[in-house]
Amino acid sequence: MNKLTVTWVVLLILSIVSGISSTDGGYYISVLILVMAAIKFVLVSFNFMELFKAHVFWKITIISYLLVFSIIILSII
Amino acid sequence: MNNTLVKSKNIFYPPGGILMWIIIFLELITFGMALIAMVASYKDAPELFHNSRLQLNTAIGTINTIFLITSGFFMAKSVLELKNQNIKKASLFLNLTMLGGALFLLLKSVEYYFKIEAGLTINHNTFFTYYWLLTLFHVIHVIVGLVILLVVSRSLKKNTINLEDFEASAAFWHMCDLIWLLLFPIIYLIF
Repeated sequence: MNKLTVTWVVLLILSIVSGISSTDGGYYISVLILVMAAIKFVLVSFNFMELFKAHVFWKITIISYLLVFSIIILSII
Repeated sequence: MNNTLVKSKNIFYPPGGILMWIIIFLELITFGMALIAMVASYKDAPELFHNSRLQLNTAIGTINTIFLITSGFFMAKSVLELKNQNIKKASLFLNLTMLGGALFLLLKSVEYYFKIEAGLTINHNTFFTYYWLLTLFHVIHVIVGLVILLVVSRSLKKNTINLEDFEASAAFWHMCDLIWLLLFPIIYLIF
């Protein structure tokens, strides 16, 4: 399997696990769901959008956005 | 077809082009701020948000995530095939990308229909105000993305598109993926 196919399979698995995880609730489940969403975000931006080929500035910017967003959401929830 | 390879390692030439990435960041910041506002509103009425979230269909949300992710996968494959000068395969994967987007819109329409039938409209409560505003705004992006891909598809068949434009269209389509990956867990799963 090539990198794109592996990425797609991982994304599908994470999406299904996230969907199943929702039925329970609770803080730690929410954190787990958000961590899985962050992993999916990185996989799509780096592998599908080919950000891994881009200048380090774009990699740092997208990761910084994701970190700031996740920290704010986790600190409020 | 002009498929001059762009030097992606240059700060001014990210894959898809610098203007597209400026748009992507502006969109991500806009949706991000709206989602932060939604989570802040949840703190004021946690029970209302929890009960409202339970009225959403998680299965539909998950299937729609799968549609968009699979569509994004085909888009990435299409770009790869175009770089390899394989126009036929690039066109096939582009059609599959658009099919994924169309299925997303179809399922979203079904979801909206049942919500309206149940009286869960934009005025129902705070949760559903956010739900409608955020998901409809995202749907508009998906529709615009599909129109862009349709135009690109026609240019691809006529062999008049260049790789840079194709990558920019792909980046816009992937942006719809990225936004949904933020919307789905927060609206459908965590409250």
